[in-house]
Amino acid sequence: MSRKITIKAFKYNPLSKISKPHFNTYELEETSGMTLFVALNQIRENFDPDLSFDFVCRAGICGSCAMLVNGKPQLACRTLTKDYEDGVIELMPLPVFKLIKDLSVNTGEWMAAMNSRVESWIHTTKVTDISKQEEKVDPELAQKTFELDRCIECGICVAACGTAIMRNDFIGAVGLNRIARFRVDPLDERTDEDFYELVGDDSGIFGCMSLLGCEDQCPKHLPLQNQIAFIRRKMASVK
Amino acid sequence: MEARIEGFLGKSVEGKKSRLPACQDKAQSLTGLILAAFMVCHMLFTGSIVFGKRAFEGVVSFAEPFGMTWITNFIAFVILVIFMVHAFLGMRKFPANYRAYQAFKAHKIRFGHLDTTLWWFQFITGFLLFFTASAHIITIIFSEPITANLSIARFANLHLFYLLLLIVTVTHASIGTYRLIMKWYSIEGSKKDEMIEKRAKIKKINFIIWGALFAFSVIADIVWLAK
Ligand code: SF4
Ligand code: FES
Repeated sequence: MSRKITIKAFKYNPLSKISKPHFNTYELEETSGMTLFVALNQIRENFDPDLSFDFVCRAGICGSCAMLVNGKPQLACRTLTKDYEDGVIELMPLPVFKLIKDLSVNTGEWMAAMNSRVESWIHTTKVTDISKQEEKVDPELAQKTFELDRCIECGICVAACGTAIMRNDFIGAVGLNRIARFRVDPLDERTDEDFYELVGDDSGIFGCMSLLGCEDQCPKHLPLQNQIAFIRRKMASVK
Repeated sequence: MEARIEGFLGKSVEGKKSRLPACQDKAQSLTGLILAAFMVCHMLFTGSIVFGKRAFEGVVSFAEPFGMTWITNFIAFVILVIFMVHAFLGMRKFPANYRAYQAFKAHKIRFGHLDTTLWWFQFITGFLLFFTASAHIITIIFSEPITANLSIARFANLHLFYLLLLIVTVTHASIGTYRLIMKWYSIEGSKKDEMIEKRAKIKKINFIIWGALFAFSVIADIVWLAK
């Protein structure tokens, strides 16, 4: 049985002098298995060609479609409209990140700053000789590294974080997870002291207030509570 | 000299990042833990009135052996110092300005996420405790030796204040001990669902314990009033 659903989408163009922040309401016919990706494209096609939002992969892989769905940050392409019983869905752009227009935000700029802050690359003194076979890595450690490397930088953990919302210099779960990922990586030679230089302050690990919005919302189910507590213990014991 | 340099750069003289944030974070947790533990003992002590004046005075004389009544005043003083350190460190987490306050509040309302909302309660109660708890502790520092009758008189005078203090303190402390676990203990599990389930269990146990202590204290309060 199909039903009518109501989508209220936030609209605002910060670059326009006449644009005022407001919600636009659209009514559509729900189709089976309808995701917000489908719904938003229908809106753009049939009602409002001017509505801005981002999708790339439509499969929860690229991390570009995160938005607030009834206040909760989540991936729009993985959100089924049928999960909303009353059929009313309110969409807002992610907070913290720079608003481009309507539902579209610039997470890239924020993530680039985060990545450069935590120096998100392998630090090694070894020079790779590509004519030789690669060095072997302990499979268990490799597995752990891959596990934490699954982050898609969707920004959901940041938008779900009360600390990040209050202080714009906070590195967020995504940044702390990055630290955990390089710390476990056997190829990275950085010590805890080196990591302390990057996140050993109140905009890093000690700023985290364990509100756990990140843990509850991460679409990749990364063990964020677990890793952040671990990094906190490690950073707190650096001499 | 070093303090001047570190305050200017946020780095130690060796050019390393200051270790102070780590110390502050640990101190905030540790002082909070001590205060929570103290609060549990306090609730059990004052609650002993439920078993009669004799029981209460027995507890008092156990805590103040050989009639050394100054022990209570001294402990109250130590607690005040710990409380002030904790308040000072806790303040770092407060919204830094009205904009931050507004942003968090709106986020809390939109998000409807329990752990986030709990922090809001902790912030509000923490703020109230600056005044209410210090008033109470300072009274005890300068108080006469404790007897059941004196306590009854004191309580009867200000019972609404004590009830408010109890609610505010238990709210703050119960959320605090839960957060303490979340901050320092890594919840393990092979699947995310399992971890979230374990967390829910820890949360439940934590709040049941505090809830029971709170109920006990309220009963004790009624008994105090009836005496
Ligand atoms: S940690 Fe999770 S929520 Fe945060 S950016 Fe990565 S995938 Fe998204
Ligand atoms: S469109 Fe790629 S994650 Fe949603």
